[in-house]
Amino acid sequence: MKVTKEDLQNVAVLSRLAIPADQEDKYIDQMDKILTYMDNLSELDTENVKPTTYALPMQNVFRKDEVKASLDREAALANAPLKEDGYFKVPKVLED
Amino acid sequence: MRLYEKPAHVLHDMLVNKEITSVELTEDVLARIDEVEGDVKAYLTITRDEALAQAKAVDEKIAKGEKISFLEGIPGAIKDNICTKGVKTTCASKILENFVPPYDATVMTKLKAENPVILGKLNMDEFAMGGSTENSAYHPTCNPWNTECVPGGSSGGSAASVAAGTAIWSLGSDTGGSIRQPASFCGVVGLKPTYGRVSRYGLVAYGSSLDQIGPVTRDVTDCANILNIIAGHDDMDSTSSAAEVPDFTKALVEDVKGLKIGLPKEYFVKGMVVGAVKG
Repeated sequence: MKVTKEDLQNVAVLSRLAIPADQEDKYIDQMDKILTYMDNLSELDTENVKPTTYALPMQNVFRKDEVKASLDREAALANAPLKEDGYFKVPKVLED
Repeated sequence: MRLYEKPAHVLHDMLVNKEITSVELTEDVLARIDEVEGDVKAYLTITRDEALAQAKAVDEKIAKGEKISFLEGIPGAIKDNICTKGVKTTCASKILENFVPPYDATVMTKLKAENPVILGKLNMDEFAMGGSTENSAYHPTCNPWNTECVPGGSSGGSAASVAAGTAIWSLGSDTGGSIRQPASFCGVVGLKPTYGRVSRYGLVAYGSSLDQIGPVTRDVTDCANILNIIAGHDDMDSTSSAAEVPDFTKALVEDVKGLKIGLPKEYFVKGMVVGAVKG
């Protein structure tokens, strides 16, 4: 087993997921199968294969630092469930 | 043969020759939606009134003797992970249930310059993560050839709508097969352009170094013509290629004799389905 109960509980906390205790074994098994499957990749001999990051030659893209037309504030905030004084408002996540 | 069964290039010629109007064509496709959409369920949003208004505007242009571009007045639809200004873009997720983009994706800006008729937004696997369009938070889409079967995915709505005649053309997006696989399942033409060919600005990301928007059409002529419209460098996507965009319709030659198809040798590995790559 690559995945321990502690791993699962840690991932659950990070993902804000509540996993019922009676389902822990099921998810540990599923995560383990996924990670074990990824081991298949190590069967490939990549000794002489040049790494490919992109199919096209890529380089940094620069532009002049100029002010351009952009969304006005009202349009940018139109989808916000909560807003105040022209800002997005989100629930507090940090303690004082 | 009804109008919805024809490819865009044939309908374009019929519009130019005044054999049909865009309103007649749009009404025929909307009628087709009324007939089969309940079974196929390719759409998440249908913009019926806007579509008819767009069609009417094109007909007025034609009546005045003005020239029309390839897609002008031809009804198509858009995968729901491509931002459409003022029209809900949900990615088939309840998380974005109420998201109305305040801007258009670059492909939409390019398309709208051509005055097509936009019928609405198409179903997909939620956030494009899936290969069957069963993983939509709203409803699964069915394969129009056999509604017991899946249409593939994640651009299942894009492929099913074109196959069912509820759109003449559509746009999908492909990260690891999400245009090509559903196009194959539904018997239509789908193309994943080379990475960087089409701007990703306004496409809700799945895998940013792999995502591309591409056309789903009834034949390769339509596919080449729509790629001509959406391809090209975009300042808003720094990974879009500066390479010159050729006229893709020049590749529409009479035969494909002598054409070589390359397959990476890494595909020929243990576990590969017999016959899947070795024909």
